[in-house]
Amino acid sequence: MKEDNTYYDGMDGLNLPGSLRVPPFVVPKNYFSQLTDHIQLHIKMEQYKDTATQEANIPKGYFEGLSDKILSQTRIENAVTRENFVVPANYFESLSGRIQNKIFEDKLKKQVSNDGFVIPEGYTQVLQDKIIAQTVEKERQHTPVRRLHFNKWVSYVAAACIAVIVGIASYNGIYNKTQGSANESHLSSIPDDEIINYLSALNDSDDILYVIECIDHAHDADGVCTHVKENDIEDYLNYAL
Amino acid sequence: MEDALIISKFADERTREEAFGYLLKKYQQKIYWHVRRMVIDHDDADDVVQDIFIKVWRNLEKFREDSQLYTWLYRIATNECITFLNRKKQKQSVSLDDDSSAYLSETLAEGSYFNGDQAQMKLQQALLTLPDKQRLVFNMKYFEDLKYDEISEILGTSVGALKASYHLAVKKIEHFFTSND
Repeated sequence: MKEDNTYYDGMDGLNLPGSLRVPPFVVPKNYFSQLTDHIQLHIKMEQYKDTATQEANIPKGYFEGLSDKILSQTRIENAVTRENFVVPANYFESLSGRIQNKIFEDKLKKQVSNDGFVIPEGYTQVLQDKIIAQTVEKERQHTPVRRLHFNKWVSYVAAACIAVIVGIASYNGIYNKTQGSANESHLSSIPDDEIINYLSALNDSDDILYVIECIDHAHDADGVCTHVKENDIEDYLNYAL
Repeated sequence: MEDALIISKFADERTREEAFGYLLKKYQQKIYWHVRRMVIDHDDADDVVQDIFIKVWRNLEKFREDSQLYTWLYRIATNECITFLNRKKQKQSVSLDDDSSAYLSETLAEGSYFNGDQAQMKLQQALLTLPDKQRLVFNMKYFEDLKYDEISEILGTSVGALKASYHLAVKKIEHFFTSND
């Protein structure tokens, strides 16, 4: 039987069976339908690769300036982490006590906003009249002024004053010689009241926070104020007022 | 009228009475309440306020404008209050070393012209457990709403000491309120 195709014409005797004319290779199922998508995907990936490489390009002189940048960054971070603000000593120890006090004060203010005292009706005008009657009227009364003759005793008083001053100065001179240290003698001669007065006038926020902490933790056995008695605080504050 | 104008008018003998009238109108109520809260009784406050303004009349000419007029007035008022209370203590044979203001409890209970409710009365009772000066600081801060700087100028005390005193006063009042609930 002869194959019914034409391209083997003239090749008689050398003809291969028709079954071999079918291509022997196979492709995966749906290969060609997906091929277009695959190719397009590859093209996109190539394009992306090019762009990414361009973007990763480092600017000129980048590494020269990098160390400076890092150094200045670390300097800034150091400055930020370092505490520039300070709080007075004992600030945080006394803070909660002060806040609690403030909370109570606010509550109290809501509850009791004024003192409850009243004045009699029309009192303001009465008061003004009373004061004016006592001041202006008194001023109008002329009191005779008499000149005192004190020429003689003035000289005696002046002499006595000089004698007292000289006496005190010489006593101090002798007394100071007997003292071992001039500073000690000065301190011992200053009354306690004056020392307290001086200290209370010069107290700063640290001292006050310490006092407040002592007020709040007066009963703590191990607190910083164990050696300070409540009465001492009270006396100190009363004296300072 | 501005304080400076009151002072300058007072310096002139022809306008002295007029200036003093303005001063009275401007400050008498503030000073009255400052005193009243300290001495509690209205009649006592009336006496003390009159004494204060008579002193002001006598000394206003010598007033130097290195401080404000109202702080000067408050200072005179405060000194008069303390003097009055010390005298009252002596009359009632209370030791001057006795810190509390308990000697005024009777005055508060018996005194007229108190229109407060229970809470107001309780606060006044709590205040009478404080020493006079601490009560003074509390009143000036709590009721009169003065700043620590102003109180410091009036009382001649450091702001720190005032803060600590006020803190202690509030603490004691809180204790009074919780233990008398």
